[in-house]
Amino acid sequence: MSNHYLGFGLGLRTPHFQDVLETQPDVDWFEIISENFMVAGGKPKYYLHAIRERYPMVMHGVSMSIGSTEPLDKDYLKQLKQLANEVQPAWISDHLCWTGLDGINSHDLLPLPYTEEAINHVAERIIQVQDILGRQLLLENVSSYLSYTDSAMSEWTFYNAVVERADCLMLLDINNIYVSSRNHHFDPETYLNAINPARVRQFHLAGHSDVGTHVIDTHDHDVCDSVWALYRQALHRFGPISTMIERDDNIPPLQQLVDELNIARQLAATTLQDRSVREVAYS
Amino acid sequence: MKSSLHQRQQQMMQALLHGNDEITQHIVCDTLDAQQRLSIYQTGYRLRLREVIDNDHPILGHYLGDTLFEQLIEGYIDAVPSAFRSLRYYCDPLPDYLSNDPFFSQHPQIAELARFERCLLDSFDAADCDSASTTTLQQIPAADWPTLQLRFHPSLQLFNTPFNVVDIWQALKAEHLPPAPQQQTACWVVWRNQERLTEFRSAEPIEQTLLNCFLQGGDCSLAAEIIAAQTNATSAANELLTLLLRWLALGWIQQLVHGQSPPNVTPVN
Ligand SMILES: [Fe+2]
Repeated sequence: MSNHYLGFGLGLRTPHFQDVLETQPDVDWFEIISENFMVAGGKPKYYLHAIRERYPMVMHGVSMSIGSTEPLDKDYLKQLKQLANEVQPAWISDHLCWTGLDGINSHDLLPLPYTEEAINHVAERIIQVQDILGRQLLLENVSSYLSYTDSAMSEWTFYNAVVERADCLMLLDINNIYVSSRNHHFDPETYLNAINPARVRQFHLAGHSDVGTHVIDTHDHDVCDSVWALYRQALHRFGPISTMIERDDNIPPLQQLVDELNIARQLAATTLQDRSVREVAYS
Repeated sequence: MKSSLHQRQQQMMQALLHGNDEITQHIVCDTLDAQQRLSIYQTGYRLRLREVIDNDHPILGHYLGDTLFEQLIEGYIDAVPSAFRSLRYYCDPLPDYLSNDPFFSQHPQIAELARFERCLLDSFDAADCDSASTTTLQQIPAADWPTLQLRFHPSLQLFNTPFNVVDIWQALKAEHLPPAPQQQTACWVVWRNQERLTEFRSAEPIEQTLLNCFLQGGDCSLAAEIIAAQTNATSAANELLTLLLRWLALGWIQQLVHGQSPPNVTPVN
């Protein structure tokens, strides 16, 4: 087990701030949305620091816009670095996507075309960001609803190539793989099996909305059976990887999320036991 | 030659911001066509921004009612794309938008109500700092009094408004019928208390004048002159002391300083 393994975490969300402090739930670590704490002070910062004193944390950003063709936002990166100095996170992540152009932010995780041009562009920017932050960045695969006719390769080929070229790490969102596999009609296991295990540092799990013709990544439901099944596959392939559940809408009481996280714990315990038995048998 | 990556991004932004569908030629169609796929992003874009306006301006929403609030939301999203990395600031330009919009500017209290809600938010997450105590004040040698200046808590703001929007806000918050809009000069002090809750209270004209005096770097001797000139107080010094003790007790004062260093807080207007 690598020394990067944090165990099982949750996304830290405002409605749970007080509860986390009072009940000190059995959660190994919390992931914060970096932008939510890019404020000067007050309640958000108070809870952030108080909870950080009790739990390990990782920082997860939503607007680095690493894939955009506008210049990197140095101001944003400065704020991110400042926040990292305060929080001392185990790592910092964002998404393999772009979020805006010409100073306008869409606040959405927009997909990139899977081209050689995009690989070069994104990898070069990741290198710059890693240089500024003084650490490796984790990039997450996003849920997508469209693909471009320009794309010359699969998403997983693109993802692997960017990460290799930039020497960064992967935050593999299992739910996003499922969502995109439904929307773009690929086999999610093919995706998992193509990913380079040496690069995977964290997993995300989340719920989504299935509208039949397609699936939307809403983070407003429990993790569904298909995603649990895919998580089991991921555990088989990648071994123990720090796992957390994201919930951003229709947020239930904290204990309900802790219970859901315990399903992940349980699944990991049995799957990883099988895996080690199998490894011993084959060795 | 323009890169195709840049071009796609321009086309995508055009689709989100202006409904331009040029990008659809470059979107893969299968079980869903390009327009259907694009519209998932177009819908999501507006939903996210709508949610921010809704969350940040609940009282304004009550005040306007569903139809007008809907008009505000749709108009604002069309007119003001986000220039921010964090959605926390998306509605910062809302009061200005409302002041300039041909329809909403006919009812200027609406922009003022929005400005008050922004003001509350700004105090909510303004910088932290310890407040000075009454003991600190008592320890200041008499000789230092005239040149004494104040540094206020970063969350403290003066909200000057030509309308009774705070009364309107309070009534709606308590789920009462709001009073009719009225032109009236009002000054409110907004700040965050020791429990990190945002509070506000109205400032008497003299208190407002003195807060402005100190906010602009004035010292106690100037404040005492103002009191002497503008009130019937028998002792300007006593009057000032009473005021300073009240402000200290409310946690408004961060620091008592001597000399000419520039002030750190400017009033909002
Ligand atoms: Fe995720």
